[in-house]
Amino acid sequence: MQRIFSILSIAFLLAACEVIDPADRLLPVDAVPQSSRRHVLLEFTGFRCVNCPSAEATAVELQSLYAERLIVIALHPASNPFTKGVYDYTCPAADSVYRFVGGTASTPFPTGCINLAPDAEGHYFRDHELWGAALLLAMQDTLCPSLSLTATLDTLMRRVDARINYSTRDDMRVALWLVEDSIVGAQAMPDGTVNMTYPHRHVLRTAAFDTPFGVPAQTDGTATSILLPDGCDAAHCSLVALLLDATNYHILNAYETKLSTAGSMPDLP
Amino acid sequence: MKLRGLHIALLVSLSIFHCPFSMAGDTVFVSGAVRHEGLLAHKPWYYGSQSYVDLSVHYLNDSNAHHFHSLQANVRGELTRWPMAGYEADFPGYGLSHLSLDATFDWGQLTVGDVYEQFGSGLVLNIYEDRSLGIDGALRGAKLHLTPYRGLTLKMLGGKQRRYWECYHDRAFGWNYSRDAVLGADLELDIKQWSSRMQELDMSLSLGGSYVSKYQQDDTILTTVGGQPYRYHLPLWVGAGAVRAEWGMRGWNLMAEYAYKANDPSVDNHFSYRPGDALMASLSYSRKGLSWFAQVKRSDNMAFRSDRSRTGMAGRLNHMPVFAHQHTYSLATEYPYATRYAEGEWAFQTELCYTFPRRTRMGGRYGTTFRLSASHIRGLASEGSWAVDPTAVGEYYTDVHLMLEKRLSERWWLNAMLMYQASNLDVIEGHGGMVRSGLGVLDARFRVNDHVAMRGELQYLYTPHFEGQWVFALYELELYQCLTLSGEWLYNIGHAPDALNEHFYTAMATYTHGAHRLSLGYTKTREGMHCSGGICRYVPRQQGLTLNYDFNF
Repeated sequence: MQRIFSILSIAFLLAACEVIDPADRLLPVDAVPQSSRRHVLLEFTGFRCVNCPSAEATAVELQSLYAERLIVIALHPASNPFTKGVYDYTCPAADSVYRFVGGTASTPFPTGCINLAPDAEGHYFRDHELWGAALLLAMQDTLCPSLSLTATLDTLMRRVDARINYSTRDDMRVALWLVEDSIVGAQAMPDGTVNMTYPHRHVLRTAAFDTPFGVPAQTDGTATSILLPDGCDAAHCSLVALLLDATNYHILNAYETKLSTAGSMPDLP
Repeated sequence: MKLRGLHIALLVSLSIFHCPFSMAGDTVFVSGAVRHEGLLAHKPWYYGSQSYVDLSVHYLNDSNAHHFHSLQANVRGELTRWPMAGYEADFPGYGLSHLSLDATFDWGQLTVGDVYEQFGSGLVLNIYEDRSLGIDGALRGAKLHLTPYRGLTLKMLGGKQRRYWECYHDRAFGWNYSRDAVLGADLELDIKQWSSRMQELDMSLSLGGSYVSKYQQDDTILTTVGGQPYRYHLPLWVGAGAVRAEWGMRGWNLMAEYAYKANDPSVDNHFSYRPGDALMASLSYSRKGLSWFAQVKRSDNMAFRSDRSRTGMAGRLNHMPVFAHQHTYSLATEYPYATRYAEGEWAFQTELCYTFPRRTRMGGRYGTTFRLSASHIRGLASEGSWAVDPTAVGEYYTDVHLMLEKRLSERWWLNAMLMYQASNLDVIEGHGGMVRSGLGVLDARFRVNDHVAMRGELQYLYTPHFEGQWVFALYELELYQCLTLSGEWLYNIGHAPDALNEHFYTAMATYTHGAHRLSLGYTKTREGMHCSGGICRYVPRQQGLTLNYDFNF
């Protein structure tokens, strides 16, 4: 008995603990493959969420890293308590997407989703610390249908006419979202204060068609119109066209164009 | 539906199974429990339920042959495929969630299968089950509990932690340690066993130490520095250790424990490489009619999980004691506290309980008990700091309350409580601001006769913040020790920015017969936090019929 105890004690003293030297904490990352595919980071957020500004900072960092290859869209779903209150940045489209990925009233914020696709374990939601790794993995998939978008704004009618062109696949849907940038309003901050002049970026305001998941793709592209919601500032609005897999709504490609400029995004190699 | 039918049949059959028996001088008996909780909600229609069946077969070796005392086989089946609202996305599932075999010998105990364990105060290891939160952190592996020498206890364990139904995604059913594993050991010395002088003085002294090491395979976690992407060099093995001492004599007890965790970059601490540590000390005194304790804790970056990418309930390896009183009155739990594992905290708690003896002026005929409790929890001045955050936002939680427990007569009992509470909801829930409130509670019980008793509660919470004022009333009637009828009403008076001005209510009938207990009711509950031991789960509002069943055998 005592011998067993001695052997086990000595064995356990050899148990591992790895301490990483400060100079070795960062490792280089292979460059992502070139592709014309654009990826979408859906950021679920709310003005009452004190930790959401940290997630927004992550999104900004990733946007600066991947530029036109990444489109960030902030969704404020009405069915989560972090969005409830005087300041309403919600819209039905955001709630539909939120419920589709399994969001409930008890889902903690901030959280996000890449390309409306789950990870290997079936989880849609990822903490913002994990967005970078998920994007890196998503960017390894370079195959995608081509996509372009042109839009014309009728300022008097507050209507945007859009034309979406794409290479057709049978099992594909096309969606069109309107997002608004730089909405200045209240945001709870990590230090307990409320920033009344916080710039809410890329907020989903509405979607064309009856659902944010769009309509089946046509052989000759898709044309549609969106009315700007009340209070939307067209100068800060963009249209985002999405190609979705019809079976699971994974985003296959995306394209964004600002309403204040005519024409298109830079082509990706 | 086929599965639900099988589940109901299993519950019914087990409810009538109850059978000890013995053979050849040894004893074998079966024990277990059946538990079902269900809510038939409307708006929209949905039946959420959780069912658990625990079964244990015990074999006692009465002859003590080969130094072997007993063997116990345990199995638990769970059906949580359609749970009630508020559980995490990975919670739903069904299957045999717990399997273990315990063998007890002269020299100790060996458990193979799913094990639970706590080292010391749980600062580095406390794996347990809490069904109300959906927590089950069992390690699937083995545990050895040895007493090789008098006064020396050694515990060693190793395994893979359960994280909901992950093990069912792997054909090895939780026995695959290539992706992650946990090892731990705890040594405790009972000095009193070696000192006759200490035994004469009835003084106790124990020293202990524990070490836990977790392994997890590498992940790709990105960060950017100077606009360039990098990936973190993650430690595959992370170790945490603790030392503790406890002394006791003549009603006094002094305990101190210090824990240290090596670099453990994870989602909890935003992939920081800073080590974590925690120091806890408590002093208490008790004798007949009087008890007092005071304790202090300072912790920093002590979130310790078996999966660095996990958040929420699953994957917790340690459990920091919560320095907030665990209230049972409804409005006192309106703004509970959740321990800050990663951010750290300074926590202070004290309580004095005194019973005025019977037949004294203050004690009356039956005695009177007063309990004065206070908790105060603040953040750290900065990361890794040993200074308390003195700012207003550094106050996380305060609770001061005075309770009175008095038997007024042969048939009447009265409890009363006055409480001041301050909760920083931004810290605890991520939104809501600072809520300061005052609460008054009256709780009276009247025994009509040997067969009939009733209880009533009135509670009033005042706050100008968040949802404002609340009132709560409860009435409970107990008949013949087997039937209990109860009704609760909760109303938000409001007068605050986020006032609801809404009624909530519950009506329940509970029937108890022997080991069986059946409850049927209708409820409309508000959304809120359900907390247990400093861990909290958000519960959305629910309305519908409830059905709960318990059977222990």
